[in-house]
Amino acid sequence: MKCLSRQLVGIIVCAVVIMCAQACANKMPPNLTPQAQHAFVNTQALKVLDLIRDVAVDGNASTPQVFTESSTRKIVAFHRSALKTIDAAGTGWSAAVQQGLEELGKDLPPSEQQVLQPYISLAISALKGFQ
Amino acid sequence: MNQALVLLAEQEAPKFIQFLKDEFGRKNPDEPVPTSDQVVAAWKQGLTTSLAKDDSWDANHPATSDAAKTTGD
Repeated sequence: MKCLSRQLVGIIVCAVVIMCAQACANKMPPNLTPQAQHAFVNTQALKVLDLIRDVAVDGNASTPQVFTESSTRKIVAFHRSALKTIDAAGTGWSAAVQQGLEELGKDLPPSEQQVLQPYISLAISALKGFQ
Repeated sequence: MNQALVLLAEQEAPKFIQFLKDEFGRKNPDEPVPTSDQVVAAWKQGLTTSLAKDDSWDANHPATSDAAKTTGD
C-alpha cells in the first residue's frame, strides 16, 4: 500500500512537472536583452537547484537524519559546481547539468535516492524546458 | 525514519509549492515587467546568496566529521 501510494505520488509529481516545464518556456518577459535572457534562464535553474540543495541540507539537519552528511556534501558540492558551470557557460550548460543530476541521484544510497528523486525529476524536466 | 521523512516533507512542501507558483503560476497582467538590468541583477544576487549558503554548510560540516561519525556508528 505504501509502495502504491509512493508510486501514485511519483506519477502525480511527474505529470505536474512535465506540464510546468512545458509552460515555463513561454514565461520570459518580453524585450529582454540577450544577456538578460540568459540571466533569466539561469535564475530559473538556480531556483530549482536550490530546492534540491535545501531538501538535502534540511534532511541532514533533521533527527533522525534523512540524508547523511556524506550524501549532503555530495549534493552541496554538485549544487555549487552546477551554479558555477551555469555562470561560466552562459548557454549550452543544460545537458551537462541534467547529466550531473542523473549521476548525483545514482550516487546516493537507495533510501536517500528515493527521497530526492522527485526533486531531481522536477529539476531535469525544468532544465529540459530551458534548452 | 518515517517520522523524519514526514517532517522533511512538511518542511519542504511550502518551498516546493512556492517554487511552482513562482515559476509556473499565472502572472498578474498588472504586475510590472522586470527590466533587463533587474533580471541580470537578480541572477547575480541569487547566485551570490546561493553559493554563500553552500559555503556556510561546508564551513559548519568539515569533511573530517564524516569519518568521526562513521567510526561512531
